[in-house]
Amino acid sequence: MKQIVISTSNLAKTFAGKAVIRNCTFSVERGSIYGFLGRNGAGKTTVLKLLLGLLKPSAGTAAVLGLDSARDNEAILRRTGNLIETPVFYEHLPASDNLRLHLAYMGIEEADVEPALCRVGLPGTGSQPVSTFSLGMRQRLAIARAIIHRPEVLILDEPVNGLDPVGMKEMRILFRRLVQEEGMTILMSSHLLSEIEQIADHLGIIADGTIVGEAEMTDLRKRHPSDLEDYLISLIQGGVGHV
Amino acid sequence: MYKLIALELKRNRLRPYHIATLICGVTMLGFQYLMAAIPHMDPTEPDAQLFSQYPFLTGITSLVCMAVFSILSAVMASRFVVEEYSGKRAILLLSYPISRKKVLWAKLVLVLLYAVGAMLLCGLVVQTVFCLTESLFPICSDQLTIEVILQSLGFLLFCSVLAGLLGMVSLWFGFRKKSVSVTIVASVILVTIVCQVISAALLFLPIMGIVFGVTGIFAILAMQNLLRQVNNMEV
Repeated sequence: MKQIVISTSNLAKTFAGKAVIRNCTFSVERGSIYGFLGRNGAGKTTVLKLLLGLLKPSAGTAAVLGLDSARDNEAILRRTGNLIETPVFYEHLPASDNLRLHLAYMGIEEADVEPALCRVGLPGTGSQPVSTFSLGMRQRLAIARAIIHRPEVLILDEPVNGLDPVGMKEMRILFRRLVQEEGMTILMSSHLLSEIEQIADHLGIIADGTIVGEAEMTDLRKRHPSDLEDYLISLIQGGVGHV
Repeated sequence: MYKLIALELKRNRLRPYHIATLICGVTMLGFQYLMAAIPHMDPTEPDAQLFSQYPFLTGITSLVCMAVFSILSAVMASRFVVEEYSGKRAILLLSYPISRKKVLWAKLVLVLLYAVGAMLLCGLVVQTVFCLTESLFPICSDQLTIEVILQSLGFLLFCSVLAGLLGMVSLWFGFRKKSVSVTIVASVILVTIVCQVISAALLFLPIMGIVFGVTGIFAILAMQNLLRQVNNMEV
């Protein structure tokens, strides 16, 4: 029986009286890549923040690794890696110091950061201040920071933003390896249909703050061999229905 | 707590504050000599003779020093706290699996200790240099005794702690608006009021005690409120 590591139940979040997330229910199995697809402003980032405990739900529950996001967010943050919105760094510090600081806050002392930089395609850049990094390099460094402490779960918000096609492919390969070799579970959001289509095992589509469909990618490909993209776009645009 | 303070020191630059402290020290030393020279500039002015008395002279210098360092403390607090809990930086800080209260405590303790320590050091150097030159080439007509030195040191300590506490109160105002400029403006207004009250009753212990007590209570309430705000913060 597959183990569920991320789950939400009737999750809702209201900002100043406006419901941004409504009745959001989905689950992610251990050792899988769950693609969270939706338009800009659909509520993807808000759901990810709710899972990490950075926001408190107005109603419903969210759990990661069996821990309640609203109550046990320190424990969740310790066991997960995340990349939320635009990555922020200590600009004046070198990349390696940024990673060492992250590890120190994670309670890990004296770790070698070079292997993590190599994994994301930034070998030999550890001594460079982050202020000299390009957008793509920052994104890679943010992914290195998310994985360096070997988390059980990765929660990534638009992780390939700013990457060139080569970088996107490299990150796809890296995420697949993390799942296959290290047993990580990945929940990643994106508005890039092609990206999610290529990497996800399971798909969740969010529109106007609610999950409008969930499915396994292999099933979807079988059922919509020629019109998958159009079908997904219709769902993203708010067409509620079973996937 | 020590580890968290060490991490704060690793990721924030203290060099600008060291330089600011050095500049304050040199300026305060010049200021003290300038005030000590006032009675010589106009010997006929009876009020000017106040500046030839050590307790008054060192008291005024410590008070001006307090004004400068409480603003420095507010600047430091806005960099370490207001900026770090504003915008996207807040996500990074709140993503660490450490008690939010402990992280903020580390920041507050660091800012408070730095402000108090830097002002004490600055004041001690200024007074030591001044006393040494006074023993060789006296400018003041007053007698420099152990009692006078101890009284000056006590007032310096009082002003140093007060500078740190005022920084904490100004931080509360700045944090409410998530604004560096509000923190600094609040600090200028607060220090102006406190300096006015203390200078009107310089070295009069009951008034100084009341000012210290009231500022201390406001600083504790401000810190408690900041801890609560950060603990419930959503980003």
